[in-house]
Amino acid sequence: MNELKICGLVLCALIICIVFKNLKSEYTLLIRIAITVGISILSLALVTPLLSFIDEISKNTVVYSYLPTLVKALCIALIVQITADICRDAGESALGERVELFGKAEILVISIPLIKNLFKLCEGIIK
Amino acid sequence: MKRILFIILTLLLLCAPLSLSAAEINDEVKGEIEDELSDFYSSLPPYVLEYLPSDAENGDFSLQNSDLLNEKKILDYILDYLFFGLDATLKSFVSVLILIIISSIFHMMSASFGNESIKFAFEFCSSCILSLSVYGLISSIGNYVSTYLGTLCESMNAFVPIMTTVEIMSGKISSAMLLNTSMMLFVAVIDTCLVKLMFPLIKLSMIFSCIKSMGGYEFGAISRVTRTTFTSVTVFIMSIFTFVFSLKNVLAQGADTLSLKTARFAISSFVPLVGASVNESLRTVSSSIGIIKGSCGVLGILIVLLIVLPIIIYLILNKISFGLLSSISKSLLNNKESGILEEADSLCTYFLTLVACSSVLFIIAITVFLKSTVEVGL
Repeated sequence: MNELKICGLVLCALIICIVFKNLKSEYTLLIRIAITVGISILSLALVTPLLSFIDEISKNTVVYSYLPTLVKALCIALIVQITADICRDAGESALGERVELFGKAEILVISIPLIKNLFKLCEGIIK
Repeated sequence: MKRILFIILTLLLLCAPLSLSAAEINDEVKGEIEDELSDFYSSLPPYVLEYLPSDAENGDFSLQNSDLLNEKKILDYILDYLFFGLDATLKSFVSVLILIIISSIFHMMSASFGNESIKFAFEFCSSCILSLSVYGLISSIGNYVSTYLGTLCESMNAFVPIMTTVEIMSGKISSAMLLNTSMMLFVAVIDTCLVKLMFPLIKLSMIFSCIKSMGGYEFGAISRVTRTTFTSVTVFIMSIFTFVFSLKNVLAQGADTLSLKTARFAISSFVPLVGASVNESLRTVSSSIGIIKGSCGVLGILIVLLIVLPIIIYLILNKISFGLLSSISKSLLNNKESGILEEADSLCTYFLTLVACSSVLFIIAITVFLKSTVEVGL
């Protein structure tokens, strides 16, 4: 699917949301969530070849051991950002903020080994 | 309403089984770095190793714990090698002085003979003895210099991967590649061209001087021309290398700064949620790596100085010794024989130039590595 089709789909969804806002407003949010999730999944599908390329070129480098952690963190950040934006669109900004906080905490948890390595390095320098 | 509840429940069921884990980073990379450090450690000569920190083999090069920054220890090191060099030089000085005295006795005896052929035989004997002894001394000095330059090249060869790793860690890929190739080229030029090509030429120049001293044939000019040409070419090549390396480094620095700024912009713009924090932490990490770089660079320069200091002291003492002997021989012997001692004196200067050029080349390369800062939009 190319960018024209995606843009067309988003514009159609926008028109449907505007129409449904006056008729049945509860369906507007569902349509918004469905389109957002659909386009996010399509974007991730586009990014997959890039990830396998990065995996290939970094196979024998120092970065290879850190790559899974980085990709995980990026995915968490994207998912949490999408969720927080949907919550804000629905008028629930407090929920969006909490989701973002949760996402940041998750990313910190998965980067604990990296932070441990960094502290070991700093310890070595200070010694 | 029921449909909405059903959709929400389905979504909850989909999200519930997802779990999160943090995997430990494997130690393959750590193992590779340890191998590089142990290679570097094993390439250093023993008299340098005793000045490194006791945990240097494990990668702990913290200079505060070593004797490298202790002025008294450095002075003791210089004095130890001064006395060692003085001892060896005095022995060779005394032996050549005795030969000069014997030669002068031969000359005095030959003056009392009327027969020209006997006179020539005596003079030839004295010239032979002196020339061959001085040739032997110069050869041994040459081998000593060659060994030290070989040790220096080996240590620098083993130090290059460490410098390259630190440079890559700071995100400067182009500078790391340039440093790697330039240092390898310097080591190859010094080890192959200067050591393997120059020493046979030095010996040839000494042989010409010996022929001039023994036979009276004028080969002195050839040896002078050879040495002068080689010195000029060496200095020219060193200057070109230093100039090109410094210039390329400036360009590589610019390219790396640009790529780092682009990466930082991309991270802060495209990574949601934590982009700004990652951007700031990158800056902190870069500064920390700058500290590592500083220690690494200072260590490298100190190691170069520690390796070349003994040979420089030895060459200076030998130069003084040959200078004195040449002055003494001018008053006791004829010009032919004192010429060989002057030649030995100038060869010591030549060796000194070579050692100084090689060490300065490496020091400049390490200084450029040390001076380069990570510009991350500060």
